[in-house]
Amino acid sequence: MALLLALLVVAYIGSLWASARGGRSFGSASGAEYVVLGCLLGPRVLGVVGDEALRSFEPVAHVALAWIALGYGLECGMVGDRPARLSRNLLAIVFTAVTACTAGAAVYFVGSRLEVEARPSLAVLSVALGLVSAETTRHALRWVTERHLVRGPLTELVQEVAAADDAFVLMGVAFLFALATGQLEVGTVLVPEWASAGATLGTGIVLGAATAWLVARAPRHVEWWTLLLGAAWIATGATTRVGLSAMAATFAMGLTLSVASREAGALRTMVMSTEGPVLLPALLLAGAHLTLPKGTAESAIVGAAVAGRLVASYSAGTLLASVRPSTRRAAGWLGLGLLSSGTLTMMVAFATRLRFDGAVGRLALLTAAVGTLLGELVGTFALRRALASAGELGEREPAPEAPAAPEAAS
Amino acid sequence: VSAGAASKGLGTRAGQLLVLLTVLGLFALVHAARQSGESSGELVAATGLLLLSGMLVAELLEPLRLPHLTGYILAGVLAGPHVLHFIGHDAVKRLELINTLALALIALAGGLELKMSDVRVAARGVAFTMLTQSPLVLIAQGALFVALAPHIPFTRDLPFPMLVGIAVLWGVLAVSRSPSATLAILSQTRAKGPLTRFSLAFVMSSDVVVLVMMASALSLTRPLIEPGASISLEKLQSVGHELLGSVSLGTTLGLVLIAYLRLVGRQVLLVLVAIGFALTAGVQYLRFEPMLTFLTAGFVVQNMSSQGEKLLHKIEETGGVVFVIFFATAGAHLDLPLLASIWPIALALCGSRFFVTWVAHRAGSAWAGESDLIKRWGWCGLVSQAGLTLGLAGILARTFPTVGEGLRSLVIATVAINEVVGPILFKLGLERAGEVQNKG
Repeated sequence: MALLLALLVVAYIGSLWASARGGRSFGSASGAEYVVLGCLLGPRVLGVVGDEALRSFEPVAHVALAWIALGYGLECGMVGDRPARLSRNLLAIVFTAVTACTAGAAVYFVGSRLEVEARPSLAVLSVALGLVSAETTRHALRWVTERHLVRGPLTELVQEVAAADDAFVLMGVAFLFALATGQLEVGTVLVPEWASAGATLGTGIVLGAATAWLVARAPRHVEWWTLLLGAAWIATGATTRVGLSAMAATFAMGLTLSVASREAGALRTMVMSTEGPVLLPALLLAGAHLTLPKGTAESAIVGAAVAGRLVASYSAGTLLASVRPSTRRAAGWLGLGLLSSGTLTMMVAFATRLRFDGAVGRLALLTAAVGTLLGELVGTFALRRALASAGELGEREPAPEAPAAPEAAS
Repeated sequence: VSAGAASKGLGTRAGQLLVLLTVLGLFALVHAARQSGESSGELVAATGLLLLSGMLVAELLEPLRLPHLTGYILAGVLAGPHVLHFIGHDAVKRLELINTLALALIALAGGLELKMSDVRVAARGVAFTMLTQSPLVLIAQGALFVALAPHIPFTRDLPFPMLVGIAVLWGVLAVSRSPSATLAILSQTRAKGPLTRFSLAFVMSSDVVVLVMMASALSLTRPLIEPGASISLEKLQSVGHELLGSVSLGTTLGLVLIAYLRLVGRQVLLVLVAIGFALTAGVQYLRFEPMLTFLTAGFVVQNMSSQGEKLLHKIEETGGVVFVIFFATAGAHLDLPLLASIWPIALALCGSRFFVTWVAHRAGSAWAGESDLIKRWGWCGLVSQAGLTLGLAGILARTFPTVGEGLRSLVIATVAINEVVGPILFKLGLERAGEVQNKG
């Protein structure tokens, strides 16, 4: 009970902090400061929160992560209130896939030459580290646009590409968790891994479609909350029980709702109003789960993943900016600018940490944290420079008094 | 309830049924699968299932003009450990934590609904009806219990003095009502008018009356049930402490809430969730009465500040979720095998309770000079029983281990009937009185 209350207090502080900033994304682009704070409070540094306490938080963490993924699904492919162009969505998926594959390949290459605890599951480790190295810059861009007046083709391009970068990662997580579960026994039938991954996404799609249909016939927002929570918790609980990815299922549910519901905008607003109270405690918990690598071999693996990401992101960013003459000057900076990773990376890594007890979970979370901090130090600055190089960065006029922020979960 | 309920045609109902079957089918698949992940997933999924299926069953029952609450209970029964086994006994037990919060919010909303001006208007009628209801129901139910004793397994061989003692306790239990069911029906129907005012004031105040009656009955009947024990005023003293403590704490909480709403006013729901969990644990530790504490807090906010409507609106926003979880869990809790084994006794006790409640109400409201509307339909809101009755039965089971468990089983069986029939009657009464704003 005391721990639950502590979490509620953190959520409360987080939501006040978020609303006090007039709707700005809280603190840094990736929320890295909360990860660091969690790490400091966790069992490995100050020990304010012990291992047992962390374990008791796990059920709450599963629900929180899945809820956050529902929000990602609802926002996927959207730039503000408008959908991004399909070509840009596909481009985002390709870029994310290439980044994930590059980082994963680097991990596999290094891991196969070293003696590490995760050697028997090197393929799983490579997939996991590839996925937590793949996300690009939605939050970083949001961070920049909240502080500067940015407008132009490069801004639009990056916005649209970043809008759909969650899709590949979260669908990949469905596959990763299915790999960990192995063949699933349903009665007397053995379900292969690929089918389990499909079932994870299928569960989300079916529940999303059902919720969209029910929402259209329930005029009161109170009922929408009941429907959203009910469907999301079914997806979360059902997948978690059999070891599949709740985040992937709720992401698919959110994406389906976004596509199929006429009320998607209102649903998006409802779910995103809870982002602060849910996300900040989740980042703190993720930080508290962080551990240092065991030996140089594990450090090398993390290094390989980060290096793979660096190479892929830099290449992708450079290529992206070089296509148009007007944005060519920003090519180098944009390559580094795409290094920023948002909260999705930490959340996926945290979910992986909860699912995989051993080196896979530990290294995935560590890689995400290192990548996030690196992106925070380099990426946001580089993105700003890229936009300035392209002549798209101006000074924002002082904002008028912000209206009262919407209530969380209201 | 959806405003568009009336326009929901066969296609919509078929669609809702299809969604319900799909969700249940998904659950059947998940249950057939070997568990290879977190066991906590089962609890999360169970909560989701209760929410979604509760809402769908309630919608499907709408054409029968049954209250949504009945649908929630039915969904709980369906998904629970006695029918489809999707939600096991363990999950039902673990859901009690969520119920704690639900009950706190329900009680707070109950207090917020009680405006001093309304209470003043209804006070005379409530007082006179309470004065007739309480003794008449107690005596009639106690007498019937004694008469039925040869047919009740745990009372068959009891000596007469002991039987009388248990019959008195049974009579007190029969006087208790369900504030949560009353509030759930009012939340659904958005009813306004004299019957609504009367029912709300009566049911909320009967909470206090029943606590005092139970404490007195425990003190007086102890020598009858436990040979060698003497009449002790200790229990009465502890109830006085419980009531005063609850009211004091509730008043303090109310004042704190007023200050928060005035000075900060943000993230009210998050604050309520934290207070709901923390204060319930604290109140239970202090052996105060949580329901009364939150009821008082709501009453203070409504009548000592201008923040009442704001807070009530916030709680109402959660209404769908809170009521569905609370009553669907209650449905999953229902012990169907037990009900099947003693249903004739339970039915006889419930039937006589309806009748005596009706007679006592007619007498009390005539004495108070109430309007014809209250005289005719006022009893409908006094039939429901739920959490408070079960809580009191739990206290009896602990106080008198030899007969308490049997008594509790019988209470569970009768509450099962009253929990289903009571809300239907109350909704019917409100409809007949023309006070229902939401016709869904």
